[in-house]
Amino acid sequence: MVDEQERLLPIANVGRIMKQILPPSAKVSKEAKQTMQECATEFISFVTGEASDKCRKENRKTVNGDDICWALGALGFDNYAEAIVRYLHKYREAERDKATQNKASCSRSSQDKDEGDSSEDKSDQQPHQQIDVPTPSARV
Amino acid sequence: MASSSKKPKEENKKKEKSKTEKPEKKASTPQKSNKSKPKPDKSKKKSSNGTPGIPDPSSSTESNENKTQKNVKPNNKRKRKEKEEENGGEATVCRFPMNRIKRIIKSEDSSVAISQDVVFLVNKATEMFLEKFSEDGYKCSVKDRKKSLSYKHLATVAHERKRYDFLSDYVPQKIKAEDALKEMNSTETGEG
Repeated sequence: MVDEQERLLPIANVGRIMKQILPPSAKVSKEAKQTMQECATEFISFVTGEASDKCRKENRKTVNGDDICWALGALGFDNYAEAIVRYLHKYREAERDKATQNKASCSRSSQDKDEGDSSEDKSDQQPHQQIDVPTPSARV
Repeated sequence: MASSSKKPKEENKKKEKSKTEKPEKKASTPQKSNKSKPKPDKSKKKSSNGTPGIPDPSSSTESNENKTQKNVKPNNKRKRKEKEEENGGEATVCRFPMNRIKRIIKSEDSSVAISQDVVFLVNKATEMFLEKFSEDGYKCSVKDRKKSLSYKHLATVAHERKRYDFLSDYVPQKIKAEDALKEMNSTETGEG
């Protein structure tokens, strides 16, 4: 029995994004926020479903970032796809910087573990919003 | 108090900066405390839970100097985050919890394996989608001369734009019960 709220994105995050993009005087009804929550969740399923179908057709087991970019383009979200490609490069840069920093600081024992973990799912270890980049090098 | 003893070097650096920032902050804090008190507290508490054990040297200096610690800390954290965003860190800050996104993806298709890139990109794409859909919904509410964005506006947008066809089942337009009953009766009589 999965809790309804557990299968959706948190409504607080959804509400915050909406408030940030809309003018300060705008109000959002609770029903609209709940609807947005469901729509955002459906969007995730929609895009990743398309990407995973592509991988299955090409006999690949792992969905990667390029598949997501392709899926966004294929589903009519072309303008997202362009921005997402840029985000992907920045993210990979940031991850590389992080990995080199970790290697430099913990080169003795954790080097092998870090390399092994970075490519796999790490749901338990990562807290929310972990991708804050300490280095100021990532720029547009 | 304990945190102030840990990093004296950073305190000295921050003091130099804080000297210039002090008059601005003092002038602004009373205003901000009236208006935006609940927002920064709520939002920044969440973000502070997410960031693993990063100390706040800026907040330690301010807490020593200012009396109102509660008002100062969220402002400092917000300014620090704004600085990070200005530096281009916004590109890699995620708005939604990674675990939740992973769970949603797995519920769609449990057999698929996903890389870390994917979770991040889906996070970003969802954020963009939400922003776009909200904007479109708001334009609709403006046309309707309403200040509040309601379900009806989202349903109208989903119905009109082809790009939102995939949401047609999730945001159906509301109809009156009597109209719905009439439709049901007409289909039943048609079949019978």
